[in-house]
Amino acid sequence: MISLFWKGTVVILLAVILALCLTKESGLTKTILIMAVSTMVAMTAVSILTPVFSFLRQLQQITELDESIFSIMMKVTGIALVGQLAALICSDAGMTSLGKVLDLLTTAVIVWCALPMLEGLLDLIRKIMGEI
Amino acid sequence: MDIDLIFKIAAVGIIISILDQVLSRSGREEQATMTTLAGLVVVLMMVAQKIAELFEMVKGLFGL
Repeated sequence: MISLFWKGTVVILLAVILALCLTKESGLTKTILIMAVSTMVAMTAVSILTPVFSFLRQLQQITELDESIFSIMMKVTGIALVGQLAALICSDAGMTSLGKVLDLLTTAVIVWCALPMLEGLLDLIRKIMGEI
Repeated sequence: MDIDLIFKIAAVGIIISILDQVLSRSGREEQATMTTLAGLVVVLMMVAQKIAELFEMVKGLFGL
């Protein structure tokens, strides 16, 4: 895993040098190069995280945490990861407004995904208030 | 990690920029534009596969 970290660092630095080599005429190719490197490094990061998530699943089973809550948390993490990556690529390409809109979209989807948890919290608060 | 892909994209970019310069200087603006577009499509096809792979990976891992 540590070797993957070194590899990723070297690849990113190499991509920076190559992107700087690409002249103004091939600015779009530069953006695509950045996209390719970001995708590859993100894929490596996700593959490194796989055992971490299986450990988290083990913890969830041990603590008997509700499966729906755990799956919501996982979904939110995945959406945030992809959304953030895409928004940063938009910003790098000089389209900050699109990046911001994508951020907004990501936030909206995350809130929508977390809605069952918020409803559960509301029910809990109601129950507690009713008991008082 | 597929490092070859990065070199491929950079090489295509450099070739495109050289061809664009050569064709533009010789007064063939339309051909220069078409060459640039063709190169971009090739590069985009390479990257699209990787992006699809990333999305599938994230979908599988996070249960999306």
